Amino acid sequence: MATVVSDPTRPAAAAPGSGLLHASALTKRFGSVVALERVSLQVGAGEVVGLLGPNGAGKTTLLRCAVGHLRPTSGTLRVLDGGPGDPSVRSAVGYLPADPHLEPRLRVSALLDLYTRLRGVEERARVAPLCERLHLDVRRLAGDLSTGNRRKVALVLALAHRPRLLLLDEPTSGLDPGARSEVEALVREAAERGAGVVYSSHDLAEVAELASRVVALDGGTAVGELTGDGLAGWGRQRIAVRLADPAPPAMLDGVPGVVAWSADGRDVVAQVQGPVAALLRVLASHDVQSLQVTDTGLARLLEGQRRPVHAAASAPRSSA
Amino acid sequence: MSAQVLPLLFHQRWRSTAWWVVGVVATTLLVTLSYPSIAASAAAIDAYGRSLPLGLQRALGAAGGMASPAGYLDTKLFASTLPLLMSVLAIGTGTWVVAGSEGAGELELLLAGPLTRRRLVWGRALGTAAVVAVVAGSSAGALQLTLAPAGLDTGLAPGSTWLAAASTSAAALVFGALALAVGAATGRRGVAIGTAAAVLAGTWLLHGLVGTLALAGALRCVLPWTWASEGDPLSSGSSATWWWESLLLPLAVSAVLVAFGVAAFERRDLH
Repeated sequence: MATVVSDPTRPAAAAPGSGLLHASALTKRFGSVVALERVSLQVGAGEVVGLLGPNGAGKTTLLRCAVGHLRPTSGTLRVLDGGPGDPSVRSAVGYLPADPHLEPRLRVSALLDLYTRLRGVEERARVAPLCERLHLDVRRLAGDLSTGNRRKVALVLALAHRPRLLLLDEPTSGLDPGARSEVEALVREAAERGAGVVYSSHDLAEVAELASRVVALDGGTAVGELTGDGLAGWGRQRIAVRLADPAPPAMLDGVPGVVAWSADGRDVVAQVQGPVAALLRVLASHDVQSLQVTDTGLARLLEGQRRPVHAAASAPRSSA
Repeated sequence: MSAQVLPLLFHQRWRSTAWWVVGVVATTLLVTLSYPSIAASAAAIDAYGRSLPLGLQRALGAAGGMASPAGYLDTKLFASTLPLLMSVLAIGTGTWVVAGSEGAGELELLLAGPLTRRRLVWGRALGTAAVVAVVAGSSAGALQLTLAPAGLDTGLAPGSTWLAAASTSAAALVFGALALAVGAATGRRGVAIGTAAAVLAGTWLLHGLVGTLALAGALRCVLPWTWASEGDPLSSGSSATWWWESLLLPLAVSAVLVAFGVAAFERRDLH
């Protein structure tokens, strides 16, 4: 009964060879701590690659290597055909850190102006529409902003110069649902313009919605990779309900978002892709005694794929 | 190099710089406006100054006599108060350039763009020099305005207060540059401040012992406060010794320290 829903909004995977980011056997150690162990990753133009993993998996380390903040211990790392620290490369990269710090005594408008000037972005006109879309009040002091709003400011800075490669570290963390949708829309638009996007998250459903490919990291190692239809199923939620009476036949047939469902007496289990509003409306007309939502997410993915994969393990090992 | 960095630096530092100007100008005015009451006891003060050990006289700037305008300004302002204030300012600002800013997480976004670490550090180092110069200059300006009303305008070389402020700034910048370099190399704010403060205290102590301790005399070539006092700008004005030893030498040493900091910063991870 399960159906795979093809998502027309999902950016297409990049053509091989159009690499914007090329990491091969990338290793990063901090003393005796191994943060990344021979991780390989390619990101092409127009491609959204999800980086998925629990805290400490190595997602942030990988992104910080790609933006030149960290020097890889070994392996190869090329960004836009150059070194990650090259200023001309970084001028074409947009980076959203996991915890963006902004000068607290500056108003958002002044801060955006100074940072875009620092980048040499001539088209400051792009900043205002981005702020408007993210509902960012530019008159406020940066120090008074919530975590979510600081993230929005950093996102504007990451997007304003229309980067060829976008590195986003948990971009929707701390955002309200409206802002979250807007961020996802901005990522899709960037990919449609031809930018490569690396989207780090520990929320598989969110990444599965956006990405054409997901690389799962665990303990600094790439443990799995999902693409295409294999990815679509991971964006679902499993909703289990117990009704007061046995479930009627065809109870959830044709309900928008429900891609699969089954009933066993009073117990109903539905797989939902996307919004659950339609399902909830149907359930409201029944006497629901309990409801349990399970994200078909990260833990299950990692459980099933705890074996290291090195897509480019045959590449020659060299210093970045 | 610094054109892109300075506007942001101005926004980040103007408030603290303004407060420093207020504090240093107030200290300067307190010193100059106290002179008329001190001048009446000039002979007794000089006798007391001469009774101090030579090293202490040097450290306090009292070797030339405390009652003359030049001696008074040297003792009360340029030998200890202003150098220490400028050193604290320079060390604080120099630490902020990399280690303080890095510890606060500011560099994560700032260095994600085309701005290089080299341009950031050199731009901010110039900004640090400008901050120290503005604060020391405001002290010299306040001094200039109050010399005549306070009766301190006799026996001073022309423009001498500006020269003294410049050499004080240059010597203080050595410690600021040291804090910057250590902070850039380690990324640790506490280590940067601690190292610069320890070197400041050690060199200050040795500076006081030059002339009384053979070792201190032998080490005078590495004592910034000895360089600053050698030119004696208050009495002698601008001289070759002042230019080379009191101004250009500390600036050159500061530049070398910043260059070392840049090189170390470019070779390490951003914390």
